[in-house]
Amino acid sequence: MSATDTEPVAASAAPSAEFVVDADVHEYFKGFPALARYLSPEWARLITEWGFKGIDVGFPYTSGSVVRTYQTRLEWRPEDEGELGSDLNVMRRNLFDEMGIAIAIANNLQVPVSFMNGSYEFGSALATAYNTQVVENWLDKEPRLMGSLCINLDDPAHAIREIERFGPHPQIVQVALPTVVAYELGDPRFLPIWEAAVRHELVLGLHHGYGTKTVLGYPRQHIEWKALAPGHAMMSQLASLIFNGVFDTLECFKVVAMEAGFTWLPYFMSRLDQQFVSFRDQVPWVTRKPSDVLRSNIRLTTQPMEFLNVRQLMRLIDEIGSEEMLLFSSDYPHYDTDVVSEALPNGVPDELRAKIMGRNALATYPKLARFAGGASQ
Amino acid sequence: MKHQLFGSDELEPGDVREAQIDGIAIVVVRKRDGSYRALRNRCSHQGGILSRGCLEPMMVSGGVGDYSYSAEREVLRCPLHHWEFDVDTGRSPAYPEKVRVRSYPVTVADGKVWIER
Repeated sequence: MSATDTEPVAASAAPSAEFVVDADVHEYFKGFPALARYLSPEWARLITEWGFKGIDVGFPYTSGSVVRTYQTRLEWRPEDEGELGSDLNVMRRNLFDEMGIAIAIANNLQVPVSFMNGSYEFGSALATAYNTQVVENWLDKEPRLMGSLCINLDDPAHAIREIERFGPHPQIVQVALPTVVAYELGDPRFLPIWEAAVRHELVLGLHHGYGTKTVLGYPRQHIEWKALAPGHAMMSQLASLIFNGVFDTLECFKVVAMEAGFTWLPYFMSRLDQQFVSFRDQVPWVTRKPSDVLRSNIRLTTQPMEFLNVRQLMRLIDEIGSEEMLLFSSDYPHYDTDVVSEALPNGVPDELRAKIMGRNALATYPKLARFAGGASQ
Repeated sequence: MKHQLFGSDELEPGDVREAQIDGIAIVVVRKRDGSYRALRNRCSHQGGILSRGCLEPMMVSGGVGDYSYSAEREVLRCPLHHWEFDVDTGRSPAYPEKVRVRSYPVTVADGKVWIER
């Protein structure tokens, strides 16, 4: 690699002067062999001796985006040539120095244990190993980086133990799950998990994984999956949480819908409200209309920012009736990482821009309230 | 102004009857406890005739998965899209601040049902 190879591309070269919270970045541990040392010897042998390389969910696509990003975002490459996002020092430089982000909230995509078949006990062990290492290798070394707990929906008792164990860490701000399609998150059997999250001031972050599907399953083309699966599955899980009364039982429980788009919100609100007026008697435990629940309990990240000019964005904000629902996110270090200064259209009023870029996040994640002073400067 | 409608023994509890007051379509219901209520007889949605819908106990709940018919509250359900209106208030239990039909005070005196409009 030549010296010029490490020059950052122009789009990410200008640090932001505003207070920015990035609600969706991804940190990567250095492969399963590195994770093995956080497992008991009995579980570690599946990796070190038997060659376990990751959770196979049957994802049928090869999109090329990982390779292209690796070839082009040279300033993101770790010195050891490992995966993008696997080196804390490079992440520090990219996010905090070059992109000017004040606080980044990381979630991991390598251990979607709730998608696993087979032994759920191994999935739970992987979750514990991940949680242990993210605190040790990332959070304890970088106070501007917040982390997310990995939990296993197949093992709710274990999930609660993980929350009780790691929840007190000041930089663990959310429980993260892939947007699963085999379970309804509103199922009452999962309620104790959400109660534990609330006890520890954690939100639930949902982000699609390779096991997330459209209503057609895995369509023929990757582009169909990428365009639709995150939103399809997200809408289904949000409806499940709302109509199964999770937010009536836990009024302060918040869910962050990551990377699933947000321009569908007016449709979603209208559709749920319209059905609720006719069929409220099917879910009499729901005491507020769905759009009110969405406004109070659901937040959505911005990346990948959909085609909106300022007039269209302001109309959308008016239609959803809230300036508090959107949280800026970059999705670093993925191919479609949004540029901090360019993500929102020109002309967004300063007050609204400050909310989306940072203040809404501070109001969403209870543990981030301590940073509120930085946002008002 | 009060308008006399009909004899107070003409409707059984659970019965629904149409009425016209000054050209306004009214629906009068007799609740299970024997009391009367009156609403505008047009759904605020698409004009469904509420008197042709269903008078039902309101579904309430003590928690997720629990279904209970309210002992006191009843709804009139529009025949067109099944929107429900609390007969005590004229408001939709789902969307009370926006979805409503006008309700009218009803009294019983001298063996007659009276409505005030």
